[in-house]
Amino acid sequence: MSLPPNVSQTAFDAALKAWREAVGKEWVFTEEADVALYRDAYSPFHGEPEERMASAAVAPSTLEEVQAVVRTANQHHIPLYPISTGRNLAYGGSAPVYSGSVVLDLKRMNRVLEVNERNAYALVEPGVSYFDLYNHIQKAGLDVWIDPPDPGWGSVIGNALDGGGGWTASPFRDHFGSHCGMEVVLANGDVVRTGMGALPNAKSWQHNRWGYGPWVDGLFRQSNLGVVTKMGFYLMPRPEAMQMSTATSMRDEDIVPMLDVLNRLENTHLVNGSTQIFGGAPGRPGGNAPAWTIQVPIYGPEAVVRASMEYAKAKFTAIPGVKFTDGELFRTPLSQDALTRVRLVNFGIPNLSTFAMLGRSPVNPDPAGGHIGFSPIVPRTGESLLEFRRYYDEHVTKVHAGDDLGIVGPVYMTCWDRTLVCLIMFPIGRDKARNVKVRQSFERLVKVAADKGWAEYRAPAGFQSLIADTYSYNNHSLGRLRETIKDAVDPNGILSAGRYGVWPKHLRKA
Amino acid sequence: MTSRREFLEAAALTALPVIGGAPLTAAATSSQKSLPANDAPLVGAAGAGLAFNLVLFDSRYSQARSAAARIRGTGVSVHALADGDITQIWMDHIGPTWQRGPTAIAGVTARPALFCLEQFALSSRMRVVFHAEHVVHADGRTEHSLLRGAERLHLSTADLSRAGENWPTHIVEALARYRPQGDGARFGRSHAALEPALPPQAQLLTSWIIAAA
Repeated sequence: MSLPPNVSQTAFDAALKAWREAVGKEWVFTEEADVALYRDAYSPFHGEPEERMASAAVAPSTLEEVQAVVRTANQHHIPLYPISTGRNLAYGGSAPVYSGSVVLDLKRMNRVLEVNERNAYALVEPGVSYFDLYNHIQKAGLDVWIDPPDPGWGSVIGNALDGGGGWTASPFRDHFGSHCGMEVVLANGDVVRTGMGALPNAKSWQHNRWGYGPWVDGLFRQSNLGVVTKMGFYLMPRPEAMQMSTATSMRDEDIVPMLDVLNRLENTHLVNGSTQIFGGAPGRPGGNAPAWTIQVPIYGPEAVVRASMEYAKAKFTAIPGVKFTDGELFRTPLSQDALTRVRLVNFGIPNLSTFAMLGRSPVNPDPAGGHIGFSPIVPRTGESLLEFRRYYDEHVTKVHAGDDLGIVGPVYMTCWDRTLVCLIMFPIGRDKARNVKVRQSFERLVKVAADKGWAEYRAPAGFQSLIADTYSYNNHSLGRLRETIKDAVDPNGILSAGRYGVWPKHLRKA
Repeated sequence: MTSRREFLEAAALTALPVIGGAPLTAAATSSQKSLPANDAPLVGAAGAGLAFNLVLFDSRYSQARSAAARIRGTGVSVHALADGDITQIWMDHIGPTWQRGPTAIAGVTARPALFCLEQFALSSRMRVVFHAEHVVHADGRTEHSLLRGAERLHLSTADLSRAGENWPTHIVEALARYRPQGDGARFGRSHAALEPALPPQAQLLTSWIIAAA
């Protein structure tokens, strides 16, 4: 059994005893074989001394148990690292940012507390996965959709708190943006309910997110100020139909007017689905392959979808040379046959098919496998996209430095309006020397992107401070504000030290 | 709510509930032509039945289809993964079964299928107790690595090399020898998350057992 850093054996023993009394001895894990399960499956430091490791884990099942665990940790100054299901792969998984922290594993808190069909919301605990919520809704026969990410085994709360997104309609695919109300345990064990939930016996906790007074929910996104034990989410009433058409062009420069059209259609809420933009990658095929392909997905009543698509078609084809191909219109619920022809996440159905694509197969000879992602947020304009592509062409080629590191990308996604998420995947494998080169490449690309005014929205555990440092306006004033809040809310610095680059006072570099 | 102890004690009884697996797919059925020379009835250790009730195989690979063909007729459900994705078998069978308690399963699949199942298994107090990798080169030659639990199955890489192209049969016969043992080593994560360095054109298959541990 290893000790958390700066914690005496006496203090740790006392904490373990208290935790065993609070949650039951079978839910406190100190044996190496158990604690090793919390390693990050995709750690870029796999098998190296810098790999982030837990010292122990404790798994409460109720709010009161969480409070007891946190109070004990606070009393003994023991660093805790809360996880929900721990499947945040490519972003750190279940391993703590600060090695030696005790993992606060919330996956036993897996109750779907409410699904309200009439007002289309759910209230869940952190251990509820997208599969769990989907199954609950299916069994109850409710006419609402969830918005699963790729893949669907993660926690609904964990994904939202990490800034994840999905693949159905706006606004539901912005997972934090579509939440409504939280319950949070603070470092001193106190419990806070946000928004309307602060009203005892509140009747509108999941109906109105704002409540009264300063809104604090954002303080708990990508943060280390509390342990979220309940969270509400808006659900999407099942749309009658969905159609995904495509607009293509053979000319590189057409991406400028094409994105202008897409933006107008999306910012007026006419195109409401999650678009992907294909093309423009290094080594892109010549010949008859389009330079750019933009997906145009629309959800809604069938008549509205058809009319909206006609309007979108007219707008895209007004650009000389742009071709518009009508996609199949799918009515919901999907037929068994249709289920085999669609991307399931576009229809609110969680799955794990992404992983099948991450392994080498006869049709996929060079997959990313284990990976970490660098996904700069770029303005959604054609000019910015072309600039990003120049950056990618120039710098990814450079960082390879003669080695084929197998970097995959870029993939352009539109999880949030007005921007592009430009995903670059860096493969992580068992070859440590290659992993070192991949890390160096990652760091270099982050710095060059920051010089161009682009930064990541989410980061693997080992790089969260690196990314946070790129948000350096006015001598890191945002970081300093976050540290001030951290010191006030968690003065002993026990919660998720270092998460998203926010370190408690005693661990900050001078 | 089931306690961890109850959970593990239930597993120790090894009265493994039968999983209603999907029937062998067309791909697997067609692989009957590749039945190995040794088609004697497959039995578990000391003549007992097999310790698992479900075997997954990746029907994109002839070697996995051969393994599936060998296990037919044992009463074990055999399920084909047509595209390597475990979602459906997880949703329909494995997930609900593991909610009731640990139940051993085995497979000859690509790496990601094992990785996904291991993630779920860890939450159900189960571990990968046997793990081997088989790198199939473009010229048909296969290299084997036994990463975990081979001694329990009395299996060596030399055995597999000697088996030549019949190695899938040999693997299945080894899997059949698996018996749960309470005094075994407790394992951490397997190596299934990350890909080993592979030569161009080579394919990676894994054989494995997930069981209470």
